[in-house]
Amino acid sequence: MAELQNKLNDRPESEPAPILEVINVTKTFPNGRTVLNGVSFQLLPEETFVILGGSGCGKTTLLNILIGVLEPTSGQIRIFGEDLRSLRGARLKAVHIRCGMLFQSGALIESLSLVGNIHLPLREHYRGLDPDVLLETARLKLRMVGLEEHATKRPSGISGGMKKRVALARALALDPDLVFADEPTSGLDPVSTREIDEMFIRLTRRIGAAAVVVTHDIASFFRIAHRALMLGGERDGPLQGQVIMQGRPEDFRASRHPVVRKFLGLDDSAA
Amino acid sequence: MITNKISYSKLVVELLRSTLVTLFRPSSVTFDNTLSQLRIIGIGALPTASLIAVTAGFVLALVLEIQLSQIGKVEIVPSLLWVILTEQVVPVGVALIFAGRSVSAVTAELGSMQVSEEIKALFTMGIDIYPYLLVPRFLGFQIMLPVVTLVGIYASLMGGWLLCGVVLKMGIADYVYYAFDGASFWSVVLALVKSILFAFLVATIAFYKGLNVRNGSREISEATTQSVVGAVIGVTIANAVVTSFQLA
Repeated sequence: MAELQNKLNDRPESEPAPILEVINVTKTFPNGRTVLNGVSFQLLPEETFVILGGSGCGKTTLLNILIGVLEPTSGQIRIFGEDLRSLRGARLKAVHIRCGMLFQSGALIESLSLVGNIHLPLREHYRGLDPDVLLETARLKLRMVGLEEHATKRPSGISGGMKKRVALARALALDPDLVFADEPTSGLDPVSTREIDEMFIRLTRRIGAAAVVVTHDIASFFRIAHRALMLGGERDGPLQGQVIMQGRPEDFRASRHPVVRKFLGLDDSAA
Repeated sequence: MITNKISYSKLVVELLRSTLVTLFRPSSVTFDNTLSQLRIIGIGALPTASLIAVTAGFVLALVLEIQLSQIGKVEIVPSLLWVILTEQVVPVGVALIFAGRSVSAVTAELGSMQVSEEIKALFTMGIDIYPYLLVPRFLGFQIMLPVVTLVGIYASLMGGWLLCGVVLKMGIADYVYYAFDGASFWSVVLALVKSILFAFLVATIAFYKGLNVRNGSREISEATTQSVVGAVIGVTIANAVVTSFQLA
């Protein structure tokens, strides 16, 4: 595992242009509650960036803004060099094709089989290709997450951990350049969590995809992250919605910030 | 933004645009989904609609026979049945069956898809929900409601003949002769026009209510109730308006 971690932390010496730039993003809901306050970060190609924070700190809100489901109150998102807000129709679709999204609940289409769920984005976006080839590609993706024998099952007939694996296979179906993942290991036991983490690392590395992962799982964070930021939550008072810290996992380990240390379980008083 | 509530007018405009695009540039996905929806929305409604139409024709014939026998005009029962069943009872009745059966199912399905983030997932996969989800269901309503209405007209006239045959000892040839005596093909055209209009109303109400579900299962049940009530009110008001114009 240590070897895998070292491999993950190997960053290219000459940093290429970021594929995702989040610039001073703020989100205030109609009820007046500000959940994000001046959040900024950059994501480089092939990098795994983790967004950390306690429950209700705005991690999922930030992710929803990044995938274009929610609009920020202010600030800018630049994805593949384009302003996300200005994208409409075919241009937005083109960006979505270059992205994969793994939802917390899996969000698998209940009316489709497991292989059908992975086949769906393939047949929608590669209409000119032989349907048999696309179906075989979907089966291959399912095999990559170890679920080929369950191909014809419906999402309601499999466990939560299996749903996450199918959702991961679907997120990677189009070999995206960028993968978003919302709590990919929530609700899973430690063994399944480790399996999903290792699968996530292996598969995103294989296709050279960058990833933005939202999690509050500390073990996952240390396993998968190249870099991370931590958002302040409700209990952090004036820091709510702000970036408390941004850096590499080792920077977080060495941090003296009391909120960071408490969140990571490094707080002496908490021990 | 797909998290914003969608307005009815925007939904209708986008749905019509997507339907036209789909009809001119059909994809295999939409074609498969449409076939599936024709079966779910329409074929499944046929037994219920036919049974209700037969009994409606029988009961209406019975009432007309009792009333008209008092003035010695029982021979006009078949032609009255033709006009009343074809122009009024069957188109409205079939639309109400669709409102109770298919509108509730579509609203609950779309609402569940919103709550379980399936619609959000489609959006992030770059899949437009109009051609993928709505157009097949819309075509399912638009094609199958008129088809089931035609079957219902036939079934209700059969129900009328059951009464006329049993009580009035009227042969099938006489029944057909009296039914079509003075009958107009316009009645069938009117029934089809009404069913297309009703299909449009019930489908768009189901989509509007289903897609605007946001928070949890309670909202799904509320949306389902509202869509069925809305569809029933919409159909009855539309029928009154069309009939008023027709008879004016």
